Amino acid sequence: MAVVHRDLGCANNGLEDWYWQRLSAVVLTILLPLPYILLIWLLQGDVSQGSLLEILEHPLTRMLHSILMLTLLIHAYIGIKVIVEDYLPLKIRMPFLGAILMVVIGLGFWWASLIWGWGG
Amino acid sequence: MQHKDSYRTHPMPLSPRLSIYRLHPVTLASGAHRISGLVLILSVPFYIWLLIALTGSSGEFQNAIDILRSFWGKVALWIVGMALIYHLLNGVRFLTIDAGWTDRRELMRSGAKVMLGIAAVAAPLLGALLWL
Repeated sequence: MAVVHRDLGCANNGLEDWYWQRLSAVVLTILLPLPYILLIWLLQGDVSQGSLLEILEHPLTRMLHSILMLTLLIHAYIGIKVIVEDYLPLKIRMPFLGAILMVVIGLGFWWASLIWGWGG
Repeated sequence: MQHKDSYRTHPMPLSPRLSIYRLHPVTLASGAHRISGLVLILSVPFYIWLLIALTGSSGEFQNAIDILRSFWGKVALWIVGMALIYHLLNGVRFLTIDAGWTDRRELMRSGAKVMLGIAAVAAPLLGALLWL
């Protein structure tokens, strides 16, 4: 009988990825609609820059925005990893995921600097 | 080594095996989850760019608002909004499957159909919200 090699991808244990993907999903279900609703509000309403900044600079907004950023990047990285492990050949997976990780970390710092940078 | 040889003669199949499985609602719903996820990831740099403009000078703020209200701005918001609605609702469906509440074959099939149906209904509604 042929033994199919169990290729678990880059992780030695898939459970941890699975768990983090679900945990971040629950947080994102609550937080991810908020920036989209904000954009629709900007599109539809007659919103001044002052009132937008008032919302964005509020400490609670900054905290929630930071949590959104972190969970989104974790969720996105694991999501890309799952797709990569399904469809990319073994040899190029690691360098590809490494590059993705760099981009994700770079985006995170850029985003965080914005969240905490503007205003006072 | 038997292990290595078996890997060579039996390479890990693609998951799902796109060339073998016929497209049915469950496959489509799952594939759409991946595609909408990728769309959402690709929208992140645009969101950061919008944040920079919206929190910049008053001229940059107005420019960003004008772009949001332009035809292509609305098209982009529609695409991202559809990806968000689908990915979020289908994600909740996946969580109920993981929790063991809907992990029966019929429920997974009907759930996938419901998701594709919701997307079909949401598409014109979101368009109406953005354009009317």
